[in-house]
Amino acid sequence: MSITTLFLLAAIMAVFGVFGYLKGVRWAISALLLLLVIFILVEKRSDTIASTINGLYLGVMLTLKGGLAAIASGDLESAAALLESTTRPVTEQNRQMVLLLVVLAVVGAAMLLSLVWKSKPSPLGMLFGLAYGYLLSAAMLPLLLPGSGGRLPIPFLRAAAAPAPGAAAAAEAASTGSLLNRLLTSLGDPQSIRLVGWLLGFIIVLILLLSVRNSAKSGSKKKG
Amino acid sequence: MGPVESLFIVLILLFGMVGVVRSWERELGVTTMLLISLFLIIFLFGAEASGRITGRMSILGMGDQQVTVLVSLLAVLLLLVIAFISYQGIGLTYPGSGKKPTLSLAVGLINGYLLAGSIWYYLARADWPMMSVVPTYSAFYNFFVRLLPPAIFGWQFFILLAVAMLIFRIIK
Repeated sequence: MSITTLFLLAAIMAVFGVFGYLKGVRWAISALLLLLVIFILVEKRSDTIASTINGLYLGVMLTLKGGLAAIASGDLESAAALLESTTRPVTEQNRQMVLLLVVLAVVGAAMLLSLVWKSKPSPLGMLFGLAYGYLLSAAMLPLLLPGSGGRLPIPFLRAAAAPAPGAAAAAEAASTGSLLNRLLTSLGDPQSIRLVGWLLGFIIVLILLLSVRNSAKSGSKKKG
Repeated sequence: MGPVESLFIVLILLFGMVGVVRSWERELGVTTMLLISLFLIIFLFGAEASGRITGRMSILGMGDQQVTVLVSLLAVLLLLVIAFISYQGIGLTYPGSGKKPTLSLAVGLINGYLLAGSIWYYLARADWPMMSVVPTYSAFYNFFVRLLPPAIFGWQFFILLAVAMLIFRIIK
C-alpha cells in the first residue's frame, strides 16, 4: 500500500467517522447499505452498469432525434442508422471515470439524505461511518489510483491482493526516488531527528499546557 | 509504506477521532495517566534497570534478547491496562466545555501518539514477538520509529509534563 493510498484511506475514514458520529446511526447504516449495493455492482457487475448507462443514453438520444417515430412508421433501418451514429458515453477508455462518478453520485445521495434525516450524535454512528469510509476508499481508490496497490480487501467480496513475486522489491525501488522518501532519508541523520524530536516535544507541551490552562480557567468561571 | 507503520498511523488517527467524540477535557485525563505510566515504564525498565534485570534473569537462564522481549511485553501490557482503565473506568477529568473539536482532535492525536507510538516502540524493540513482521522496513518506518515517545523523550520529560499538567489544573 503506497503512502498516498494510506493517507487517503485514513483521511476518508476519519472524515466519515466524524460525519457518522454527527449525523447519527440511522444515517450511517442507510448510507453504508446504499454504498454496499453500489460497491457490489461496481465490483461484480461493472459491465452491466456500463451497458445500462449506454442503453439509457441511446434510448434518450433515439427519442430526441426522432428514432421512435421512425420505428413507429416501420422504418427500422433509419432507426438502426441513428443508433449506429450515436456515440456511446461509456467506452473502455473512460469506464473507470464513469464508475468513479457513479460511486461519487451515491456519496452525494448519502449527503442529501443527511440533510433530510436529523438525528443525535452517536458513537455507534461513528463506527458505521468508519466502515463507510473504508468501503468508499475500497470502491474509489482503485478507480482513482489504478495500479498503485490501492485495492483494499473486503470480506466475502474482495480478497486481499497477493503481491506478485518481486513486487515488493519493485515497489520499494520505484518509491525510493519519491519526494517523501528523499525527504525522510535526508532527515534521517541524528541531528535532524533530535531537532524534529524537540519540535514535536514543544508542540505536545504547548498543546497540553494551553488546554489544561484553558480547562482551569473555564472551571473557575463555572464556579464564579 | 508497509502494513506495520500503516496500522499504527491509522491507530493514531483513530485516537484523534476518539478525542473528537469524547472531548478534550476527558482526553486530558487519559493523557496525564499515559504520561505517568510512560514515566514509570522508562524509569523502571530503562537502560540501567534493564542491566539489573538481565543480571537477575541470567540466574534463570534467560539471555539478553529474552529479557528485552519480556521487558517490552511487560511495558506493552502495562500501557494497555492503564489505557483501558483511563478510557473505560473512572479517570482523571479536567473541567471545561466540550465544544472545541480541533483541540479535542489535537489532544486525541497526542494520546494516540503516546499510546500507539509507545506500543510500536516496545514491539519493535522486542523484534515483533509472536508476529510475522519481517525486515526490510520502509524509509517511513525507519524515520518514524526514531520519533516514537520512548525513543526521543526521557523519563524526565514525562514526569515533568504530567506534574505541570496537574499543577496547571489546580492553579486558578
